[in-house]
Amino acid sequence: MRIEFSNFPKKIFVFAILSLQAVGVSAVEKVDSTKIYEIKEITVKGKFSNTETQSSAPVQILSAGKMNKLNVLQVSDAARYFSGVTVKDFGGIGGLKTISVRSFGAAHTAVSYDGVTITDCQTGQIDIGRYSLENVDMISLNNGQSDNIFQSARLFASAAVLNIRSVRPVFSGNKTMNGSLTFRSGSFGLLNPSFSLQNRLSEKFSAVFSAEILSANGEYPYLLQYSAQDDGLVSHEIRKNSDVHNVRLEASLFGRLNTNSSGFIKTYFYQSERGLPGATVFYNADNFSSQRLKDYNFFTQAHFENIVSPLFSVQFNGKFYHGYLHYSDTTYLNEEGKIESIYRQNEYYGSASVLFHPVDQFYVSFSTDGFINNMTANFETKSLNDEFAGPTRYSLLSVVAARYVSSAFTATSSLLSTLVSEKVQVGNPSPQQKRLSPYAGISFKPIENTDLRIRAFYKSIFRLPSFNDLYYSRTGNENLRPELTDQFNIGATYSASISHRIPSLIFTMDVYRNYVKDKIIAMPTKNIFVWSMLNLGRVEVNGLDLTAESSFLLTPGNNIVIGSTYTYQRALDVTSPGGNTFQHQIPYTPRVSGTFRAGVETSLINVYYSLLWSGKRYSGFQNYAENRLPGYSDHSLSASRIFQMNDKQIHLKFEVLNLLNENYAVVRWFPMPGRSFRITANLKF
Amino acid sequence: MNKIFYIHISLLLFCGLFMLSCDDMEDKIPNGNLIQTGETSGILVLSEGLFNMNNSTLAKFNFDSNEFFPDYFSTVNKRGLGDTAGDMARYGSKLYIMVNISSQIEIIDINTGKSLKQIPMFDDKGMARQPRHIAFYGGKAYVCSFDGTVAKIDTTTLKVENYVNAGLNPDGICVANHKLYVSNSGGLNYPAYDKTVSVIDISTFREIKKINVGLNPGTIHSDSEGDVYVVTRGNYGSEEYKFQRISSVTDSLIDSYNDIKALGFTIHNDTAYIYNYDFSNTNSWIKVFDCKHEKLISEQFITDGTLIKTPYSIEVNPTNGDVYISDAFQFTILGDVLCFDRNGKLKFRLKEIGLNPNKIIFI
Repeated sequence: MRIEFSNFPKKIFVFAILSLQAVGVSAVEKVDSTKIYEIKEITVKGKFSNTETQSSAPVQILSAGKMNKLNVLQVSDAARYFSGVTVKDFGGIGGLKTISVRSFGAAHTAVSYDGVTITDCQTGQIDIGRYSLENVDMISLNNGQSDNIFQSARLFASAAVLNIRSVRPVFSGNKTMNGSLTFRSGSFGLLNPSFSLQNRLSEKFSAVFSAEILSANGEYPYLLQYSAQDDGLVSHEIRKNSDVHNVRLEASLFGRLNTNSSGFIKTYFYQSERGLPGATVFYNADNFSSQRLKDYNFFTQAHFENIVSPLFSVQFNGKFYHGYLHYSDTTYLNEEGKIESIYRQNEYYGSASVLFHPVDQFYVSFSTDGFINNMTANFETKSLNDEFAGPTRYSLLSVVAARYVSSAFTATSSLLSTLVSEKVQVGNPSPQQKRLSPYAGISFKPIENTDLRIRAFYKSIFRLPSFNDLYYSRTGNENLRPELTDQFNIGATYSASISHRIPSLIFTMDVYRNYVKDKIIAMPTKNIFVWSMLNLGRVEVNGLDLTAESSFLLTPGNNIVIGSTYTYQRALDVTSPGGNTFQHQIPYTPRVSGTFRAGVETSLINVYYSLLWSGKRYSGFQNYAENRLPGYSDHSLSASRIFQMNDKQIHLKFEVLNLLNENYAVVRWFPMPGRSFRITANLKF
Repeated sequence: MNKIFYIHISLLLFCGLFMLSCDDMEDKIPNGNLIQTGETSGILVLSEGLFNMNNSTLAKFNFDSNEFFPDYFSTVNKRGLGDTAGDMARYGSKLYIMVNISSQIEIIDINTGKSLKQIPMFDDKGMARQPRHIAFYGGKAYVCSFDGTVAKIDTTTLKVENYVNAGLNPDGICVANHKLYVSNSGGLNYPAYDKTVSVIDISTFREIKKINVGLNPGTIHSDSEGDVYVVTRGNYGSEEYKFQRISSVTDSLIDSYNDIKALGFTIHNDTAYIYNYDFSNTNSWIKVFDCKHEKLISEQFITDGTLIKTPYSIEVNPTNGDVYISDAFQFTILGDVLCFDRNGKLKFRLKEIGLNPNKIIFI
């Protein structure tokens, strides 16, 4: 499922590239809005004052500028460059892509778009391949939660948060309009035109409009191996039913009423039609290539914030979301000869936050979010319609948080209260949930004048069962409890500006231990053909995340930028001592993985190389050879050049993806594309 | 400055080196099966694997030489069996394997394991028929498929000669009284399951009757008297599992043993070995039923307290009457095959023989 790319505003970052690491979340997030307040949360020092090294819990940031150097098209491509992350990718532009952070399931990572969480109560997970990078200013990943306590309660309510921030209008000089026109094309029928316009309407208001079409036939070749033996049968196949066609429209109105009040309203519409290519079933790949998905989703959200006095600020967020999804399979052997399922979801969301600043260096916030989610469905037969639960979920999240900041020490703590109750039209609703979830994090600088920081955090949080887990026909179990997680993290960060030739160096290292209890897994509970969801699993994760990045100034205008990440995850099933899976690494989680990026930037041309690699993984619960999926490395290379003409700029870029044409799969029997090409032309005016 | 530069470089290299190392995760080795069974000959065990994982296996265990080949088919043929192999049966020197999701019938030489023919089971529009089970009669093989058909295959030419329609999603086939009995499960038509057994006259190869039985019929076998026994699996709610008897003389349902909540069974010498697994309380049992006198002989076949978590198939060794039962555990890990003597005492256990072992053939 999904889309694409990015422009390259080079606002904040002086040295850009490579890293998964970078510079200030608070700084970035808040530059346009509560300048006065939040700027205090970071200590501006040298060229990179940066939340990535100063935060108490790890945060990794990819600005549009950096992503431009990574050969990435959609949010899921970029997220693969974060350390500690596994993107479960079913292959192709249209294949489902979900994010797993530090061995937690996808439902544990909230995805926020411009500060408001995107939800899918049906599956509990977000397909991050559906989010284009074309209109994105920055994406960032918080382990635990952000140090910014002035945010909606929902952003405190998950084990990790992936933030997507759309482009903000910035006008230089007397310009009142900025435009950007991009055309992208590439292998497997990729056509991807996009257009965006920023307009300064008045002193106080500006607007952004962005539109994009993406289309691809997705028919990429792959090698199907019928045996693990070296001399086993292989065949060259073409991926079928992998086409995707989508449209994205986005419009925003930004206002700054006075120095103390600002806000925005945005509307987002996304429509797609795609094939859902199935597993490459031996001798019958085509028959499982008849599943189609048509969907659209629409949301409109608003944000307003006001600095009432130096002691007191408020912010409000609201959102309405509607999602429609039509799944069909015309080869299903039931009486109708097909499956036709239509699901509709709505969300009504409101949030209010206040921030107090009673004494110097100390902040306290309160946030309350109330939201209602519901889902309706239509199926191919009346009997299925009659038994559909039609659930509605009412949620009330409240959080109190405190933060102390000095140049050498920061501490953040919060307590989240969750109250959830559900109603259903058919059957029994899930019992009411009441939970309290604490967080605490600290960061300190032991040596004055050296930007070395030690940090630690603890967070206890849970994910609610999804509507599918609770109510899905035959398999749902309305008595499921939330899946619980505990996270302990200790880390160190170091950043320095060594000389004018090495303007930046950032290094971070974190070790962590995570626990998952009451893990929600599918087990046969009614019949061998009828699997149901149970709270059964326990997982213990011991991990290490490393990131490093730097830049070298060769001669004026010529730079080398490099960066890398490394992740070690010992994610073991500890459900039942003595059981047949005890202390086996959980499925689809490599023990080691990492990324490497390097670029040479000259006045003539910029050349960037990026590498994603992963150690072996197991597709089943037992770490036996027959379940082993080999490790892989995926290399990409790009060359780009910017032509400046008065106030216009043309950017041309040529990319080669999976340069070595490696035949690999992230998810077993869902092959990834081999070598492919992409060309992008962008005009900024 | 130079010093700092080198520190800097070494930090990056350090990171780079890490990348190349530290994968301390090794394949774990399944529990060994080199046990002395005291048996002669050997067994073939079909394991269906998991849906869309292409991991059906045929394992071979030579008892006399004590050799175990976990993926025998693939070792011999250099290719996997495919996805969700649901059943196999022997006819002469040939072994027929129904590979449900790959929609193939794989026919191998039972002595060498070599594939003799792979019959693709697709209709005119290219839709997969999804073969499920097989029965033999008079030199022909009859294969019921999830698309509602029964195929007639010549066991010499290995060609499909004809098709006949049965009901919705057939999930069992047997021969009695020169007729085929096909259980129409409607398993893919939830919640409106089928509840019929199709009777197909073998000589005309036409469906002559549909007998109403319990909801969602599955495994079906006949005894020497021409009685046909069928398991009906209900709707996992109000309608329970049942064990039922059909007369092949009148082609009507004559008995419904509602207290025998069966999931699967086999018949050997007119003795039915029936297993059940109650998914709601995870209890399982094996019962023994006399098909001649139509009464239960034993409420609990296993007499030595051996626990079976999830019985998934049951077969009797025709040479000595030993009963082999497979245990699928939680369906996501390798299952075991247990051998009991006729008195229900465990003789030996073959550990981790395949993922969801569902059929055992004695060779």
